[in-house]
Amino acid sequence: MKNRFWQIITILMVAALVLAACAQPTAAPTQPPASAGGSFLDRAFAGEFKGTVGGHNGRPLHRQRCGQV
Amino acid sequence: MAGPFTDNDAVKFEQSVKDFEDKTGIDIQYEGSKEFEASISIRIDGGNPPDIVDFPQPGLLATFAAKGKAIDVSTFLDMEKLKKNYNQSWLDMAMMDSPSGKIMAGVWGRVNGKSLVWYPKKAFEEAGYKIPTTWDELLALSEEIKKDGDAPWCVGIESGAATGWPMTDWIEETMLRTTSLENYDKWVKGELKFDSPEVRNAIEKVAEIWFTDGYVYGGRQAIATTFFGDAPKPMFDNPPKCWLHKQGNFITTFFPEGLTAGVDYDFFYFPPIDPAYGKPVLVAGDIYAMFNDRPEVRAVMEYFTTGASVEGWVRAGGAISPHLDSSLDWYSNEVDRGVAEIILNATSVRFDGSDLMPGAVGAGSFWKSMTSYVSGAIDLDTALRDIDASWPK
Repeated sequence: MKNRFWQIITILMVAALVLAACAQPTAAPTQPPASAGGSFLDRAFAGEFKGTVGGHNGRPLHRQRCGQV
Repeated sequence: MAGPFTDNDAVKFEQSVKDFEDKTGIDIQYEGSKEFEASISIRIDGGNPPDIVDFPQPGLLATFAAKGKAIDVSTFLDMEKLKKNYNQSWLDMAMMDSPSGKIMAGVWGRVNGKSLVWYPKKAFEEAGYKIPTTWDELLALSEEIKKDGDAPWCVGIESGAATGWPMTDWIEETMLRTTSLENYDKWVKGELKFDSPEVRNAIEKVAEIWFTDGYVYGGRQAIATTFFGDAPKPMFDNPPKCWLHKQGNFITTFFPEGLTAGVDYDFFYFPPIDPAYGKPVLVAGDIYAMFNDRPEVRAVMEYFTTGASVEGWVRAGGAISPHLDSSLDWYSNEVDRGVAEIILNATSVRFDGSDLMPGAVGAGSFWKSMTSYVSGAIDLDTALRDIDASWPK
């Protein structure tokens, strides 16, 4: 019975972690706040955006499906 | 990013964006493939598109735009800035159909010019010939060379399975010089038939040169069997056996070794025919399209709208910038600089029409029927009807 309890707890925790991981990209803003001034290029030169623009689509903020690598 | 640049071109591309990467901290990872056309379709249709894709043929991008796959860059780019930094034609050529209407499906990067006539400079000047600036002057020069005992034109359209393509370039050139851009655009979309007064007129202008006795080295019969890369070589015999060759800037790689641009050869702009249509330039080039929307991807797309994005490549040779904020001082050789000047001074530019047409036509019946017409196997009426009949329903 005790084992059963911990199994359920473990499953719930794993599920919560997966849901959190899936939710993270869509929680990020697809665009910087409107109050930020300048074009995207100006803001990139100001160091506002980092990351990879890649030959392999790693983590797009649009169209990402949970589980996509 | 993905695109068709491989080997040296890939290195030059990566060098050209290094300054941007260093200053912004954005890492542009480029992946080139010689089987680009096939591989990119699998990735995009499979829902795994690269962030940005470089398309050397806008027709392929148009197929993805039509499926709603490409992101409309006009939603975040400053259109006033774009208008200041591109000839309007480039912006028009980036507009494509999508399920939600017309979108700006990409921005233009590296380009090539096709509206060039090459000549053996030293011999040309010694013979006292003058650069023509109008169609009539071009015909007068042709006549003058013929009277001097030589064939004015070097023409060859043999190219293996692609035999005929140089003629399609010629027809595209004369179309741009004899009818409106609207008609040209309708023609490449199949909305203006090949068997139309406009297209007939354009072909007749080509025939005015190609089919006049004594105007082409080897005669009309030799055109279809002369390899396009060999066609300009008689220009460099001593004395030249032919004097004029119309082709894009890539043709210099087929010239005999040891020649110097600006000394042994040079080029001039293929002249206008009807002044009403200005000084159009036929081009090829690369359009960058965006498939994933993140701030850093937007920043890179915006970067590609500036001359700075290709400056390194221009300086290294082999690239021409369509951006109006580019400088002619960047070009390391006279050929690239001259082509850039022609493109930047164009009243309009249009992409190679056969590359925009459906493959069955643009890389099929257009080549084939024009080759048969040139060789005399079929007449013009039959050729035009055959091409129209091949257009996908």
